[in-house]
Amino acid sequence: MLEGRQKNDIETANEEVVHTERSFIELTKQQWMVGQQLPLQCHTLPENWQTLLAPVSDERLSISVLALASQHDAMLFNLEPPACSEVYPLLPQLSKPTLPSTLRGLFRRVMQHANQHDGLGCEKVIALLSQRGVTAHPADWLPNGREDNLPDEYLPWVSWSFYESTSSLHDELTEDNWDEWYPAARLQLLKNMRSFHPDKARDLIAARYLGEPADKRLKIIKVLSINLNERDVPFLSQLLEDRSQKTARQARQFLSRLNHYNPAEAVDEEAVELLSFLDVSVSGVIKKRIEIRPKSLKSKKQQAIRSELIEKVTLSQLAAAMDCSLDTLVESWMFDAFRLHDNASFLVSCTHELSGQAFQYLLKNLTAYHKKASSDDGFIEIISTRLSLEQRESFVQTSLLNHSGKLGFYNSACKLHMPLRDFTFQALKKTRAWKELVSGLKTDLTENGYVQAYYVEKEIAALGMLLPNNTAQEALEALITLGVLRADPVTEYLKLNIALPE
Amino acid sequence: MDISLDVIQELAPDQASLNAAKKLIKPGKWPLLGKALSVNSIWGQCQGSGANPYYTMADVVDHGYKCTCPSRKFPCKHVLALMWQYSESEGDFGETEPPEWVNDWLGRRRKVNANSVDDSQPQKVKPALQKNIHTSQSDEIQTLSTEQQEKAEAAKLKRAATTKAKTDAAISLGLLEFQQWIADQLRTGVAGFIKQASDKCRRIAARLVDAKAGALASSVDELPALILDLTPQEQTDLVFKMFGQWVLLTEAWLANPDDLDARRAINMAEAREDILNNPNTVREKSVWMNVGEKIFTRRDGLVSHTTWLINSSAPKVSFAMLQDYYPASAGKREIGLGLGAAIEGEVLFYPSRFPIRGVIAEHKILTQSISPDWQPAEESLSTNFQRYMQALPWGDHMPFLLGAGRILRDSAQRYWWRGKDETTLLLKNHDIPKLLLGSELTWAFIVWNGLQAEIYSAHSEHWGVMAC
Repeated sequence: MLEGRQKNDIETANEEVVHTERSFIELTKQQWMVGQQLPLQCHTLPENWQTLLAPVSDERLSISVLALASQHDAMLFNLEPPACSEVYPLLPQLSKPTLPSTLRGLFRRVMQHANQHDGLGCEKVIALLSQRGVTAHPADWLPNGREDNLPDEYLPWVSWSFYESTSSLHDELTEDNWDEWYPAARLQLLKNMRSFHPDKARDLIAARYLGEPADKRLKIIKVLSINLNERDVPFLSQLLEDRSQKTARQARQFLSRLNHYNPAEAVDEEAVELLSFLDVSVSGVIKKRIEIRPKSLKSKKQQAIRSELIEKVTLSQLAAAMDCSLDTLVESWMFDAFRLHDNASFLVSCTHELSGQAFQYLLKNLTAYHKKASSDDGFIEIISTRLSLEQRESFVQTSLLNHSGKLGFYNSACKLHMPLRDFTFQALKKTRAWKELVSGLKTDLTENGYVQAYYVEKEIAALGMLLPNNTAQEALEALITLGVLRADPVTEYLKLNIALPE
Repeated sequence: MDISLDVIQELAPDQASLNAAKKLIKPGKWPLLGKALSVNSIWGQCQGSGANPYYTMADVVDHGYKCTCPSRKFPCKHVLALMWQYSESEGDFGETEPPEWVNDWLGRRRKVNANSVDDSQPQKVKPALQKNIHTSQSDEIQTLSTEQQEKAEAAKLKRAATTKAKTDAAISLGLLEFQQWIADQLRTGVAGFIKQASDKCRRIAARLVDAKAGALASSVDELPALILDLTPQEQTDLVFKMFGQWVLLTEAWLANPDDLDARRAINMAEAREDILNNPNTVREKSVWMNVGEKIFTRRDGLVSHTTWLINSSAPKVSFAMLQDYYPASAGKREIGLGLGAAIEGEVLFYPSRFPIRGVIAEHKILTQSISPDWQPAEESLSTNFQRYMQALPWGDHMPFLLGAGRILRDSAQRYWWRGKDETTLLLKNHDIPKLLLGSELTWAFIVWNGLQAEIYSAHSEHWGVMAC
């Protein structure tokens, strides 16, 4: 008891001494800040210091006090963080395992190349990892919120990456905190929500979309294209009355995609005008088939008007004007007769408007067109959001194997979300793209000694993001046999592909 | 893919390089030797005169090469020694995937047009000097008799003692002037000093260089750069802290110029050979892991390269700091061990009351990773710092391993450490990866200066060791 009291007395006395010394230091520092004209006197120092500094001459007293003060600060300096310090939410763990540490260096080099060069972009590399059942280490890569096409398993990281995009900490986007998110972050979160909870996302959009300006409203409404379903019909019908023409048109397209449109209501002057620019004929003797072709027009101005109308008129309106079903319309469109730009506009409408069944009719038509030597491959990208993985792969393979096709490896990889799962080296060697690559490579190696040509570099890198594991291995060996250095950085995409077993 | 001795002889810039290279052909000098014949490359880490090893690599076909040493001879003795070893005992080179620093070099080399001149390719110019690899000698020829040698040695010692006495006298005078300069800053106002810190520090640093107090001069010259990014209050705190430390340091010298810690901080650190030959050197043999590296260019043009190692096998956490300086003109050299890399070997500490700085003696790089599940120190940061200050009152970089905690950020975008044990520290780092902010950290390696902590690396259960 007595010991405890003595201890308390000593602590109190020490605190008083420290307090006196701190006060003296603060005061002296204030004087030093502005300049101390009068020298310090020993008797003005705290008691303990007087004994310590008694032998020091007056001229040296100030620097001795400075030395003691610095020791004092070093031992007693203590800062409290401001109350508003934020605790960042923890980065969630993903459902797939992290890339093995032995491959992290290779992954970082590939990502660096993908970032620096106008290449395939980081998302393809991430998709390759996903296909092989692993995810990136967050110290090597984290989403920045600008990615459009990340594999689903990264969604927890996407939400996490938007943490700073709010004015305060929120776990998820809600009606109440809608205004506290930046528009880009809000849109991405809406897309995520729509992927997993379509009804919740639609209800949230319905509650808050009216407060947004027309351009942002349209972007928000477009989110409904993800998991579009029957339960969206009442809300979409309500959107037909929207004050923005573009939003109303988008709603009409969605309704059409869900087989909810009123042809009688859809007939309008522009659709009739478009029809007047088209040549609708019937071919076949036993099995009759309608064929829609562009009419020969007298001027470029008329052509431009037709192009504008194809872009503007919805398929439902055109079908209504033709008095046929949507299935018939898309089945009868003669792609090889129209200009590329008009085909692209038509396909954009198809992507937005067609129901599942009508879309299958379109695919049938496109598949037949794609087999023709003169076909263009640009359509794959336009309709890619409506294609299954298999359908996309099938179109790309057909394009590659089409001897007159111009699709190179880079463009093929761009059209795919992740590498092909079935494409042999024998098939690869037969492609026009491989032959062109080999020819370009030989010229490059002869002229430069190394791979330097931009085209060759881009094509070799793309192979790594295009081929299945075994074919990548064979392709790499073939390239090395042709003279590419095994250490050449362009081979690293292939090496990463090979190092990740399927 | 052999390299013949004739090729090495041809590549060598002179006979001296060959002689020097031969001295390096000892297994202990090369903790790492590797090859990847698929990419025609060999590489090695050579323990040179610096604290950090040199990274040396070569192409066995076209004989291109690169070394991170600051030598102005091309190729340097390290490259020649690497090729020589490969020529004579290829089996010592383990076949592995090239490490990242070799890959970087290979990636850059390929950009060179075969028709243009490649600096890293051997020049096909006949050297004017006569060289012979077979007559290269690893030891100097003894031409003096024993008596002559003793005399020469005594004369050398006498010269050294005279030089030291002159240097010490010059430094003491310089330090008294420096103390007066500090007193003048207090008299005329520290606020004014902060405004003109760059000019004022540069001028007094030049005076200190004249007085042969080179190490202290560099420290003074760096102060303006340190205060540049701080808030006014932090600038004041730091200036008073540094002034106080410098007074303590100069007092230590004036009391005893042979105090090794003070001498190192004022004049210069001992050479690597002095540490190796000093019987009082503290040696610690263990497995060490790299927990932090920092490479930056100082205002005086020297590049400072610091590597922090943690002793993985000691029961109590302990550290070693490898410190090198080299001229920025020697080229960009940002190759290091790599965070998390482990080495097995002996660290020789500079004699000190608080031994931290060291050099690596014989060692080898471990290929397998080690588990960084260290227990943080039982004693608190302040207790450790108290001990550190008792030993080195002017010290301002005490390494410490913090226990579990999180990193916070305040509205002024400053970072804070908040330990589970309620330790709160202001962090010196200006930019911390988001991953670290979003992780529960099991430990964090910091360097504490009494006011702020600089966090170098941290570990989380999920994500392993992460750099800051």
